[in-house]
Amino acid sequence: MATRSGVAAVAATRKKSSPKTLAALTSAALALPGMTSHSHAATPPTKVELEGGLFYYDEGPDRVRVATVQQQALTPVGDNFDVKLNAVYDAISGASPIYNVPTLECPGGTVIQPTTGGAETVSGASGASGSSTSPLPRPRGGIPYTQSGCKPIGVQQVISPTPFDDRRVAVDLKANHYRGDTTFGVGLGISDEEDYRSNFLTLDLRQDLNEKRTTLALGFSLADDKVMPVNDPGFIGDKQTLQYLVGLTQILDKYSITQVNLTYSNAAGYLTDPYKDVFVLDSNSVVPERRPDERGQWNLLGRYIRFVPALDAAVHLDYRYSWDDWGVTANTLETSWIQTLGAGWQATFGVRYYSQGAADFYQDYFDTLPSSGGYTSDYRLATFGALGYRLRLSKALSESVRIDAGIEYYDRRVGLALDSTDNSDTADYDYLTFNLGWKVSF
Amino acid sequence: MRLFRFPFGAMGSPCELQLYAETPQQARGPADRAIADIALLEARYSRYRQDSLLSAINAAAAQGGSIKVDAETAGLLDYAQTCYDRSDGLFDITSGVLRRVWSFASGRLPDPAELAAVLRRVGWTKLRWHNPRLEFPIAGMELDFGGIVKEYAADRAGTLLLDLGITHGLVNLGGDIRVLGPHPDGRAWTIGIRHPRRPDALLGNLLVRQGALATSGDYERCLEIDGRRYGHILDPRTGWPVEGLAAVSVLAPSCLVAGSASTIAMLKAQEGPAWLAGLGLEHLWVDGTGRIGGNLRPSAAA
Amino acid sequence: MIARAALGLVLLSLGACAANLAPWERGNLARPDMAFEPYPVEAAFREHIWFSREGASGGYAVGGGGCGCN
Repeated sequence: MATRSGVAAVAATRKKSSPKTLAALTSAALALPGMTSHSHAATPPTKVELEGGLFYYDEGPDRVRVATVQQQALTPVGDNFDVKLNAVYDAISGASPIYNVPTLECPGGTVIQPTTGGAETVSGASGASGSSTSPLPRPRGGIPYTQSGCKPIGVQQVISPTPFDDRRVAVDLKANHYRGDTTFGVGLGISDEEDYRSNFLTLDLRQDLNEKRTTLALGFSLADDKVMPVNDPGFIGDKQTLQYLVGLTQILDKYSITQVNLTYSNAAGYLTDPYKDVFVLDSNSVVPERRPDERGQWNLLGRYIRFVPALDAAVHLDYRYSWDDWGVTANTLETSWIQTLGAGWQATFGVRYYSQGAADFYQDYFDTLPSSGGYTSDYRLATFGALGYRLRLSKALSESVRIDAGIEYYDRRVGLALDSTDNSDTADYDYLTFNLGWKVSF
Repeated sequence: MRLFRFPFGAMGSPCELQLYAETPQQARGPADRAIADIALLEARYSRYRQDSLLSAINAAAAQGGSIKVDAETAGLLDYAQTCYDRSDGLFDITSGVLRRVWSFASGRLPDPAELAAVLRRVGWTKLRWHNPRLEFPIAGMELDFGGIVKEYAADRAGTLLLDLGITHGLVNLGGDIRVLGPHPDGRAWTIGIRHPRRPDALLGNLLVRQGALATSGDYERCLEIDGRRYGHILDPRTGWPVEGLAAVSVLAPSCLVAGSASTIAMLKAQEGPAWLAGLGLEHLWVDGTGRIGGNLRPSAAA
Repeated sequence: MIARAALGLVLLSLGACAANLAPWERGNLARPDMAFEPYPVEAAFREHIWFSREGASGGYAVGGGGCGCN
């Protein structure tokens, strides 16, 4: 047996290996040149990518339906640039709500209801007050209902009896320049429909920091819109919107990433909806709505994604708090689960909850018009909540082709709002969307 | 996406790149650059080349002088220091000189006096390393980056290929493997583990999607004297081969860490399994009796 | 006040750090389902619906034109 001198003189402190050992080896390894990749920042794409979809939106019979087709093409240009062209075509048809009318109970038990089937179309000015046709019968003796002791016992939404049919085309072009840890983007676009035209410009900057664990995003956009209502030929409303964004994306660890965005948008000019009216009970008339000529909106959005290795799935969670100077405050909570199923299949399940408080100048209908400020009965500025559920299935047909199909159901209800309100649920509705998508790269 | 294979020789071992790309040109360019980078590293740290950086260092070491080193060598020395510290002095890049007394070709055990003399010139604590200066207070020492450079080269090649857009493939430098990414359809790579005692057989296969796999074993070169096997992994404190494990495979995010961990585990011999268990990496060990342990189990070899 | 809270949130997220994340550990983060928007065309469609049916809008990005969506 060979002797082993020195075996007894073993180091007095024998270190048991521990997580510290792994950490020490890993950080010493990382310190060597060539161990750290330089390309985890945003890099220009190396392939041409075509991505598009078909969408169908349906609010149900006698309401709005929209069919949309969208196609994007992204191509690298040289080593540090890329260009994306995007085109959308919408076919919108159906009928929309215009205003709300109260159902009244008068002394003696008479119930005054809006004429069945909703109001007549808003026609030209008529009558002493210069207002349009009223959905309620003329009060007896010419005394306004508000002075006759009649009490409102319900609210009824009035939908336009004449459906509309419109087409919208939008095209935009975006170019990105990649320079080390910085990406600059410039975009231009137009959106055109019979009664609305929008021209817009966007600028954005993304900066990778902190060894590419953090990304700072800054964005700016300017839109110049013209509203040419079909019910008021010759009138053109101008609207300018400026938007700003600051955002931070942070890699938390190898399984999770988070993002926080703060946006501010300022719109000025003609912000009124030319197809929306309000019912004034005092004068028993329907008049066009009016909104303030400026609106400042804020959004604070937090996003989180976590990879679940045991299930080969990713969980997404978003929360957004919105507020503006019209008094609309909203909370949005959305979550989705993306499950990879193998053989190129992937399924997504998502739920979205939305709740908003009404604009300061919203009322279901008005007793009298305020002397200043705006007035609207647009159901989209009321207090309401909404729940949306969606399912999507996608299949990678090959390394470069993916197709997907999805469905979403959305239910808008006053009762789902976080705020308590006495807004009527007459405007509650729901919608269903179907979509097909594709992505091809080469 | 097609698979392109590029076999080549480096670091004294058969090597190969397996890369997925759309066209041969898209694979050839990155492959050439990776192979060139590996050759450059080999040239710098080869024991066998007179003009290598390592030879310059060892020339200073032989005389007991001092030398200033560049940032890359400094990084390797710092890494060697970390391995020395975390292995209780078992992983020691000054132990290369012991090879002279263990002449695996001669077929006899070393002379004890000879061994003792060489041992006096072995020991990381016997040199002075203060970035950027390496000092050898005693003459006759020798550095050997053999246990580090091959794994470092595999990691560097991997990072280079990822930067060049190759995201599916692997780098294999004589059994030290760095996976870039799974097959394009998401399947993991099937990597065979050589059986320590039967040269043509596999212990099993491991499925690796990303990260690195390194294996240390004492079966490649050994001495058989009077019916006993003596491995080539020597304990730097005693100069004698360690006895305990036949092979260790470690899966880690980098080849450097996987390789050092497997080497240290072999050096720890009987305590290797416990050390590996506390490390926190997936690993597999086989001991002298053929017993298999660790938290990574190969599927049966086809 | 809200702006200050927002700034605090932003700084908090910068500080709440990633321990040393080695480049090879980013593999999972590069998966398409780990992108904030793995299906951008569909996301644009949904955001357009919310813009035309809800009182709040935006937060995800800037730009895009207006529309007369009714």
